[in-house]
Amino acid sequence: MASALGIISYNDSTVYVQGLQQHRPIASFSFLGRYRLVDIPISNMTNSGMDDIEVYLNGNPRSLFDHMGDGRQYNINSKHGSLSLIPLYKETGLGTSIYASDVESYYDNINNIRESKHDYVIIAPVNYIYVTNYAELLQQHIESGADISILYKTTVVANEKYINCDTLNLNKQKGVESIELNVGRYKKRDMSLLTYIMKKDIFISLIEEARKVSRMYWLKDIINDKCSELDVRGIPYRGKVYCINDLKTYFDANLDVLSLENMKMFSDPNWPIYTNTSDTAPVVYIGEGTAKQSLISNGSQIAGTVEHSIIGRSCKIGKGAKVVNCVITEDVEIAPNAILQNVIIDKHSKILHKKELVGQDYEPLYIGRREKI
Amino acid sequence: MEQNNMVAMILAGGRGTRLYDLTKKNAKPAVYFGGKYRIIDFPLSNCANSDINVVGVLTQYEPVTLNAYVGQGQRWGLDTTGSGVYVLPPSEKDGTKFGVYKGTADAITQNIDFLDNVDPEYVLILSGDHIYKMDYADMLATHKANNADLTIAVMPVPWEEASRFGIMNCDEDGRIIEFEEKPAQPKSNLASMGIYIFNWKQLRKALVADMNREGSNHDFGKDIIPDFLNANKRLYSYRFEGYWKDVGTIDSLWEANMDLLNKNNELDLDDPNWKIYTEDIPALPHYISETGSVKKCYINQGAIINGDVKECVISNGVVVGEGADVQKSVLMPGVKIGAGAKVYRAILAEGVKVEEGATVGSINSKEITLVAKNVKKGE
Repeated sequence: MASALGIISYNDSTVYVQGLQQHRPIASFSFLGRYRLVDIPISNMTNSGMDDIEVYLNGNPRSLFDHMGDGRQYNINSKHGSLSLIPLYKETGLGTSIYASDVESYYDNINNIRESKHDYVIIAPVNYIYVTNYAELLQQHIESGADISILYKTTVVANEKYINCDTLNLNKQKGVESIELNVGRYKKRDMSLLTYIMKKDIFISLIEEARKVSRMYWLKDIINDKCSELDVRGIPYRGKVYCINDLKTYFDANLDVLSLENMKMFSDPNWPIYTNTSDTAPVVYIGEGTAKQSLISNGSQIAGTVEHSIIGRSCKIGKGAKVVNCVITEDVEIAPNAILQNVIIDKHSKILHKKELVGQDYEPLYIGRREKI
Repeated sequence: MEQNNMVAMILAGGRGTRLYDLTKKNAKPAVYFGGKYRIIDFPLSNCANSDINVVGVLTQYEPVTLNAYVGQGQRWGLDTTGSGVYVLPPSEKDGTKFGVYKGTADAITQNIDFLDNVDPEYVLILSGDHIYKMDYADMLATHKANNADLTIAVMPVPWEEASRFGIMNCDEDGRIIEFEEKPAQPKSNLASMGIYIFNWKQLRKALVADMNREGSNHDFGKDIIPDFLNANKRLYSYRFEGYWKDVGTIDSLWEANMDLLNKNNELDLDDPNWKIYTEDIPALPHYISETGSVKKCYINQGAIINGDVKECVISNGVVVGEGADVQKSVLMPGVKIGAGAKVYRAILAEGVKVEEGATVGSINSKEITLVAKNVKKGE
C-alpha cells in the first residue's frame, strides 16, 4: 500500500495532438478502443493501493466528469477514498487557460493538498503510458533518502523521437543535475516520465516558490532550479513506455499494442486497467464480417473486414467495407464497401458516401468528431 | 420504494436439473448466457428499466455464487436510496424450524415480513430463469387500467406445444376465465409466463390462508391462482409479444445463444433504450490475432482468438489456440481451447480446458455436447 496522494497532471503546450485535442483534454483521449488515457495512471495508482487521487485538467472537463463518475469502477473505496476531477478555473478570466501552468492549478487547490492525510505525493502524467507499482517506487524513494525522485526511461532514439520532451541529465549516482528539453541532438537520452515522488511539504513549498519566480513556471521548472539545492534523483523504468505528444505518436501507441506480446501490459489479471462500462452487448460479426490482428470493442457490429486496427465501442463496419491500420473511436459508422487505411476517426462520425480514405502510415488521416463524409 | 409502488420478487431457488453439470455447483439463474451475462441479469435489468427499485431474490439451491452476484445491486443501478436487491434465503423464524421453500407461494409466504417492511401496493412475481425483455411498468399500467386483482403475463405458443404449458382461457377483454395446467386438449394457445402482478394486501391474505392448508402444494400455479379464480376475483392477462426463451435444457440454452448470431435477432441485447446490465470484468476489447479468423460470432471483451471460430458465442477470458477449429459452440468465461483442437456443437462450462489436439462433439451430431471437465487428447 502506498500512502501517498495521487496527482494526475496535465501537459504543457509542447504536447499537442492535432484534431483530437480540440475536442477534449489528453486525459480523455480514447485508447485501445474502450479506455481513456486517464484510466491508465488511475489504475496504476489504485492497483498500488492509493485511493486518494486528484486529476488536474486544463481543457473541457465534460467528457471526464461523465467517464470518471465517483471512481467506483477504479476500485476506489467510496467512503475513505476519493477521486476528484479538478478543472482549472479562473474567475477573473486573467491568463487564458492555454498558458496556465500546472503550478497554477496546484496552487488553487493547495489547501486541500495540505490537509490531505498523506505525507507523500506521487505525480503522474496522462501522456506517458506505462504500468508500474507506485508502492514499490515510493518505498525505493523513501529508502534512498532523496528529496525528489523522478521516473525516467533511457532511450537510444532520442535523435528521432521524443523531440521537445523533458530529459534528465543524470550523474553517475543517478542524481539529477538538470532537466532539459530534448532537441534531438543525441541518440541516447534519459527521458523524464514526468512522474515525481516527494514529501507533501516539499511539494507545497515548491509550488509556493514557483509562483514567486514566475507565473509561467511549471513544476518541472522549479524542480530544475532546485537540482543543486535538493537531493533529486532518477529512478529508472525498465518496462515499455508509450509517449503521446502528437497525432502520429497517438496513432502508433494504439496500433503497437496489436500483438499478443505488447498486449500483456494491459491484460495482466493482477494489474487490471479499469474503465467505466457502457453496458453494451458483445461484438457481433454478421455475414462475411471478420477481423484479423485487431482489438474490437463491445457494442460493435462487424459486417466488413477489419485488419490491424482498433475499433471503439458501438461502431458499425458495413458490408464489404475494409478497414486497415486504423484507429476508430467510439460510435463510428463505416458505410458498406468503403476502404479506409491509416485513418483515425473521432467519435460519432459517419463515413457515408466516400469510397476511399487513405492516409499514410507516417502521417495518418484524421477525421473529426461528428463529421459526416 | 416510491417510483411505482411495486416490489419485484424473483423466484431463483430452482435447481435446473436438466442443465446437468452447469447447475451442479451453481443455481440456474447464475448460469452464463450470451458471452457476458447471467440468466438473472434479464429479470434484474427488466426491473431496473421498468422503474422498480426494490427487488427480492429468493434463493435456495446452491446459492453461494448467486447470492454474492445479486448482492451487488449497483450493477443494475439498484443501489440508490430506498432501493436495493435483497437476497432472501429460507430462514429460521420464531416458532418454526429452519426449513426450505416448500413451493413458489411458500417462498413469498416466508418473506411476508420483508414485504410488510417495504409495504408496497403491488407485488410482481418473476422467475429467474427466462431470457426476455419486458416492461413491467407497462404491465402494471394494464393491471391498474383493468382494476385487476391479479394480472398474468401470457404469450402465444404454437398450438402443438400448448399442452406443455399452463394455458389461460380468456374472454375478449383479456379477463381470465379459466386456467388449465398442461391441458390435453387446449382451448387457447396463451401460455402463462409465470409473471404475476398481485395487489399485495390480497396476496398476503391468500398466502396466510394457504400457509397451513392441508394438501396444499404452496404453489402459485396449483394453489393461489385457482383460489383467486374460485373467489371470482378479477384476473386479467397481459399479452407479451417478443423474444422469450426458457433456457432450462442444454439444447434450449444452446439455441438461445445461437439466436444471438442472427442479424435480426429479436432479443437485441444492444438496444440503448433497454440495456441488459451485468458485471463488468476489466479486460481489453477482444483480440483476433494474425492467425485467428472469425465468422458469424458473438464475442465479449477479454477473449483472444488465435484459431478459426465460426458461429460461436464467446465469453470473456476465453483463449482459442492457433489452428483450433471451433464451430457452433458456446464458450463460457475462461474456457481455453488448445492449439489444433476441434470443438463442434458444444457448450463448454466456465474454465474448461480442451487440450491441444483434442476433439469435442461432432459437426453432424444431433445433440449438443455439454463439457464441464477438462478434455484431454484422445478422450
